[in-house]
This record gives sequence, structure tokens and C-alpha cells, in this order.
Amino acid sequence: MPDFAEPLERLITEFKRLPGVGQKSAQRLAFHVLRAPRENAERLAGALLDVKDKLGLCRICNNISDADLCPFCRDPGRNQSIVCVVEEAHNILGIETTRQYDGLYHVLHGSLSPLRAIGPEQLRIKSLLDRIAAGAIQEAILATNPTIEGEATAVYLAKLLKPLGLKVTRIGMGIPVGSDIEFADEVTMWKALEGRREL
Amino acid sequence: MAVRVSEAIVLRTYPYQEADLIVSFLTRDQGKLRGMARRARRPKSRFGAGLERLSYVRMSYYLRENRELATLDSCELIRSQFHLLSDYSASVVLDYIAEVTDNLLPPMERNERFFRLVLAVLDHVHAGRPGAVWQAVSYFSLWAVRLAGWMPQLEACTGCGLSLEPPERAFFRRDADGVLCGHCLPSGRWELSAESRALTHAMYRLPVAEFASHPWTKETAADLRRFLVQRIERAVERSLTTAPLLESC
Ligand SMILES: [Zn+2]
Repeated sequence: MPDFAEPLERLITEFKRLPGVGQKSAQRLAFHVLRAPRENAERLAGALLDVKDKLGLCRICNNISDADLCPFCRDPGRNQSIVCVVEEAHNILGIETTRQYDGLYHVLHGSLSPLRAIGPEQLRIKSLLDRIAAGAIQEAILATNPTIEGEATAVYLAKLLKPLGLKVTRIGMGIPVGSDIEFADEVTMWKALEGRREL
Repeated sequence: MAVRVSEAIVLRTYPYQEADLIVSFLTRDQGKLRGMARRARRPKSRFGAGLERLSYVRMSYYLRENRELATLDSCELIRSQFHLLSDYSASVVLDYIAEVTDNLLPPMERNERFFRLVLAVLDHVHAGRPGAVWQAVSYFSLWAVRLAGWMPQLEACTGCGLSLEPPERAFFRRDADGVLCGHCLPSGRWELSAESRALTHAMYRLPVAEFASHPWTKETAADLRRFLVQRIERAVERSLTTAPLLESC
């Protein structure tokens, strides 16, 4: 026999499907919804459905968007000659907060990972090649994660893109700001030296 | 609770909550373990590049009695596989080695020979001679199946006991144990060539480094590779994600 009335039990089960939510947290959330006014529950339900119904992918860059084109692809003020390639749409946020980049984006929706059955065909690589073939892009910045999968993806893309005649760059990898060189491991130090620049 | 330190090879990681990782790793002295690495995905994590797939590390961790999940304290990188990314097939081979090891070995059972096998094939791939990744994958698969106790003998038909000394041909099938003669397995079969069978004897005898000068391509012992992947998939009762990618790269 379930511990709670069926509708409540069902809500708890659904909350438990969310990442990082266990039984206790799911119960707390469910009881919160139960006690809150009906309008709050309607707003929550509406927001959940809108995310599914009203959002799709940008036709050009595969960013998450509520229109045919995302805000970056729509904005004529952005530098159209440079594209920053990221693994996931939420990676764009981190780059935008720097206010140092005004080019375009391309979202791959993942990184190469044979262990997770993600090969080149599972990523949005073809549409990137099509954009570059169109001719306006002169530089691709590969901003995949500094992990084995992200690095393998960057190396794979560089091999595809370089013969197309554009500049291909990789974001810097190495010692995090505010840490101490003493604690850097071999790979971190190697990548930091590899990415050194002239002052 | 005292901290333990083990030489270890990281097999794979699973993101957990905001910035944590659950790590499956093979230690030299305790066998395969799982542990939680808190804040491992943050830029200034104390794990650095140590938790990447097949990193060879000195792992510091706490393991409570009767607890499945260790708590990882830190790790010191001995050797990373970051240098091997210049070629996609090497990436797939390393993921295959990690997947097979992670699936084939039972938790918390010491298997030092398996640990040494993984290190030896990684060294061989690092040496980077032409064909090294395909030698590594064949050698690793054969010894993995053998060390896990799933290797059948190839000298006689498991159906009728007929000696399969060449020129007698040997066949296999996914759902059959061992190899069979043409009578016992007349159709729906793959052949395990006499050359590949001879190669298994050489691989039993010699360390993988000895094959460095042996001409070897992806096609070399491809039948043996298929046979071994089928043995592994039978043993773990699931199909390997990386095996089809291996054949298509
Ligand atoms: Zn867009």
C-alpha cells in the first residue's frame, strides 16, 4: 500500500525523476505544491508545458530557441565571421557573461563518446560544415569541454575544418585563475604550456 | 577511518548532482571499486585531469566496511591518455577497454593480472606504432576473456570433441560456447581462421610489446575479435556499446 493518496504519490514519483531529487526532497516539494494556492500550481504546470511546447532548436546554430532563429543568429550586430562551437546550449551562457565575445555560436548537442554511443553522426557536425561552406565564417573557436571527450571532439573537428581554409582555434586550457601552479597535474601543466602566449 | 591509497585506473565516470562524479575505478590491490568524487567537475577540483577515462593514478579514498561506495579524497596522476587523442580510432579503442573492464570484473575482487594487462596495453598504444591500437584491442580482448575465466579451448569441437587441428576448420556462433566443427555447426556461423587460432597461442605466450614489429592492420584477427566480443557479451549478458563503433571506425 502506498504511503500517500494516489495523486500525491504520483507527484512525488515525478519529482523523484528530476536530477538530484531524492525521496525526502520529492516529498517536501510535493507537500509544498499541495499547500500552495491553485494559481501557483497552474503557473508551474504551464511553465513545464511551455518548455516542451514552445521551445525548439535554432535553425542555424541549434541553440535552444522559442523562434525559428535564436537571439544570437537574429542579431545583425553580432560578428558574422566567427563562430564559437560548444557542446551544450547552456555553455553559451558562460561565454556570454564574459562580454568579450560578440560572434555567433554553434551547439553540437554533446561530445564524441564511444562509451555513451555518441559518434560523429550523433552530433550536429553536418550543419556546422554547411554553415562554413556558405562562406562568411573565417574563424571557428572550438570551446568544447577540457575533458577527454571534449578534447577528442575538438581534435576531430579541427581535422574536418582546417582543410576548408578557415582559422581554427581552441579555447585555452590549463591552470585555473586563483590556484597555484604547484598543485597542477601533468596534463593541466602541459596544456597550459601548450597554450602559452607572448606578452 | 584511515585513508587508503591504491594505484588505480579510472574506468568511467557518471555526473552526479551539481558538480560531483561517481567514479568506477580498478585498483591494483582491491579490485574494481566505485567512489564519489565531490565537486570534481569544478574548475579548481583537487582531482584535476585524474578522473578522465583510463587515467592511471594514485587514488586516495575512504572505504567504510560494508559500504559499496567509496569516498574519493584526491588523486595523483601517474599517466594520462590525453596524448592519444589525435586519432578517433584510438579514442574508440580506449573506450572499449574501459567498457569491457568495467563490465567484466566483479566489484571488490582483487585481480592484479587484469590490472597489469590494462597497463600493458595502454603502454603499447602509447608507443604508437602503426597497427598498435588493433594489436592492443585483440590482445586485451583475448586476455580479458581468459583472466575473467570465460575462454573456451579452441583445439577441439565443443559439440563432438573432434580435434580442430588445421586444416580442420573451426566455426562459432553467438549463442554457442567455444568453437565447433563444420558438422556440428553447418550454418549461421562465422569461421575462426587457422591464422587467428595460431595467433591466440602466440598471444598467450608473449607480452603485447613483442607484437610491435608484427605487421598488423584492422583486418588482422578481425574474426578472433568478433569471437571474443561475443564471449564477453555472453558473459556480461548485455551488448557492448563500443563494439559496433570499433568495427566502423
Ligand atoms: Zn542560432
